[in-house]
Amino acid sequence: MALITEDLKRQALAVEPTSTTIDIDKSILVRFLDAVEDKNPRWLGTEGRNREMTVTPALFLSSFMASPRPELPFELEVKDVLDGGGEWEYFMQTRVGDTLTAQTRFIDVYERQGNAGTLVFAVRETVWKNKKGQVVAKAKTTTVIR
Amino acid sequence: MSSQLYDEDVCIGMEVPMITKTPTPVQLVKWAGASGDYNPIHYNHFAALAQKLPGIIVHGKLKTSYLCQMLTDWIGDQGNVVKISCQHRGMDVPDHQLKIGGRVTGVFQKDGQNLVECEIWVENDKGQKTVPGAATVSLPTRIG
Repeated sequence: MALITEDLKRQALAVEPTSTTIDIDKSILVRFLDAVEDKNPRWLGTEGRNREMTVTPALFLSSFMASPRPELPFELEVKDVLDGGGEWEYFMQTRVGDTLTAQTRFIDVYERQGNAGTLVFAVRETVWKNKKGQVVAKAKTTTVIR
Repeated sequence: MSSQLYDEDVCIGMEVPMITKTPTPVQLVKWAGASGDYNPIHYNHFAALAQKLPGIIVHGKLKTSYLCQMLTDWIGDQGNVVKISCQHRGMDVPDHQLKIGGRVTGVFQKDGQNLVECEIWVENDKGQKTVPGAATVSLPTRIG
């Protein structure tokens, strides 16, 4: 018997998107680069170089860059929740000092049979916009529930 | 860090220069703080065992960040990552070396951009590709 019926899928896709505003400051970027051990001077610039600090596209992988996630509006028997991966697209460079708005919503919920039983895949989309309303980046991330 | 890469320098089959990482438990804690992912399976051994894991495991998005770093080190200041995607197919544990690699699979122009497609991966010390993926980067031309 299917865990995710058409009705449950409709309920998930109808969940209100969540939204948040993020100020990109230097300290967020410095901590992120230190955690990854990314020493590329492209991001922070080198001493004596007068340049804007651009943001590594990897920063958009951080949960600080996403709005609080919408949750499924129904209960599932859950043993594990796993990060299944995702897809990130970049349309404009982001710089330290920018303010972005992130909005996240469900775009798909489906199930597959795996070796360990039924796996439920919840796919969320996050869209980041700048103050001018331009789309800076988009992500589709998959959570695997088993 | 490399010098600037140009569209003319790239051909199908070319390897993206590999980087290696050996994430330590301290790095996982740093990542938790920097990313906001405080799931205890990444820093608390007993929480990981309770989830039937072999011990604490490396965050999936830290490994994806390594893939981004490999690409941005390769393409230079004037190149940009346009798209990156990956699947987390296997778990990795700290204090083991990860090889972050890639290979060019396509070179084309679209909307005035010089684009390069790559397959990318994170490979553990058993030779397993635990994070396969794909990426598209844009590059400048030498002609300008």
